[in-house]
Amino acid sequence: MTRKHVRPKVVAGMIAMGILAVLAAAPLAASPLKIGDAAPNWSGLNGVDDKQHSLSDYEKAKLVVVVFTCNHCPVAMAYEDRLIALQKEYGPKGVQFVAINPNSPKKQPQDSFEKMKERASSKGFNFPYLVDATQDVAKQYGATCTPHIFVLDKDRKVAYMGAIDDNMNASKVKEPFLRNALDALLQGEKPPKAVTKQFGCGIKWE
Amino acid sequence: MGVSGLHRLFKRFAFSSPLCDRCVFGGMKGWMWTALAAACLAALVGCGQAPRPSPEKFSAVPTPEKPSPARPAPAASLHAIDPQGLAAAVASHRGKVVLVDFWATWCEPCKELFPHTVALHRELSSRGLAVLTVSLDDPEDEPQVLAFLASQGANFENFRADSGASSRSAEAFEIENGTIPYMRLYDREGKLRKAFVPPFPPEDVRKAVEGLL
Repeated sequence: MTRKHVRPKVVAGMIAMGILAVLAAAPLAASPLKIGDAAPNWSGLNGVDDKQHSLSDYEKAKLVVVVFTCNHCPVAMAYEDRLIALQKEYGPKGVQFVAINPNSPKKQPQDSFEKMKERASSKGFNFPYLVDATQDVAKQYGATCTPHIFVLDKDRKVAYMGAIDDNMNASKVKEPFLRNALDALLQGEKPPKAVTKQFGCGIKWE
Repeated sequence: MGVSGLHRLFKRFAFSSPLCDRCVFGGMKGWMWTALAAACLAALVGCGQAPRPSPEKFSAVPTPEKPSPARPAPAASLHAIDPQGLAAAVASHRGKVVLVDFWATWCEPCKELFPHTVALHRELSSRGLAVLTVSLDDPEDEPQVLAFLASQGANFENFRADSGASSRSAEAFEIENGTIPYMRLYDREGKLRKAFVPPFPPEDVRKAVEGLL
């Protein structure tokens, strides 16, 4: 009965609102970046040094390597020593690594801010380790797992994304994707592989 | 399709299974059983698949066991598989609903989910569910993989990704988001119907499986 009285204008309005709602929601979904896209900015992320960090802090760096990582994940842990070694080797060449933990400590208590401090200290991280408390940075980058890597070039455009290399076990690596990408980019060339498949533990979303 | 599935199943396991099923060998005489027992034993020893149930089982008229889901116990080694091999394994179960569970020994959420996969198989294999698992572990970790499978009673086809604990496995098997646990569900025609990207509630898998059975 009542359905007959619904006016076409009202129906059209409802449809329009529905479309708007979908459009508004879209940017919240993990929107994968493409190579060459401007890197999403961030500011005010707390680091394990109790300071706030922004992407612009590293404006002197030729390349910024954004590493979405965490404490608890066995894959992320397997790569910690490799990240430390890479920062040590590539730091003098103008490469800055930045680790960002996007995991919800409610979902994974091992990834709390306090535990991040412990981990950074015990491993001797030689790069900033930041917490993405709102998970917005991870969403903007389209990060899906830890570790998940994004290399930003001097214009802070995405130049490489994916995995660090091709095996969780360092002794079995055949192709060091990230190293190859950094070497190429530092020489002003394109990475031999600009996109590889990320591999790790799923990000623990709220 | 149920019959051809059974036939394939029998062909595959007739010489490795302790269940030389009476319904298949129903017309056989006593001396035939003895001969068959000897043949089965020889095959077992030949394949190095001991330990198996004692040979007494074959010398008497066998008591009917529960109809298979009882697949052979997890093997002593895992077949390393690539995506083509997996596609062939899925295709070999044409006529059944096939659930593929990608997991790894280093993946805690995978191990937490695994009993659910075992339970699904136990409860629904008689209705036509086949389960395959692919572990993303390196060859050196195979003992841990096998120990876990045995502890779970994973009596279905278990494989190891030939590219191991690697980005290459995630790429080769097209594991969305590069992260596990990850599951794929195929219908009875072998068509991919659903992929489960974490996090997903186990109930979703059960519902989807039951919807296809």
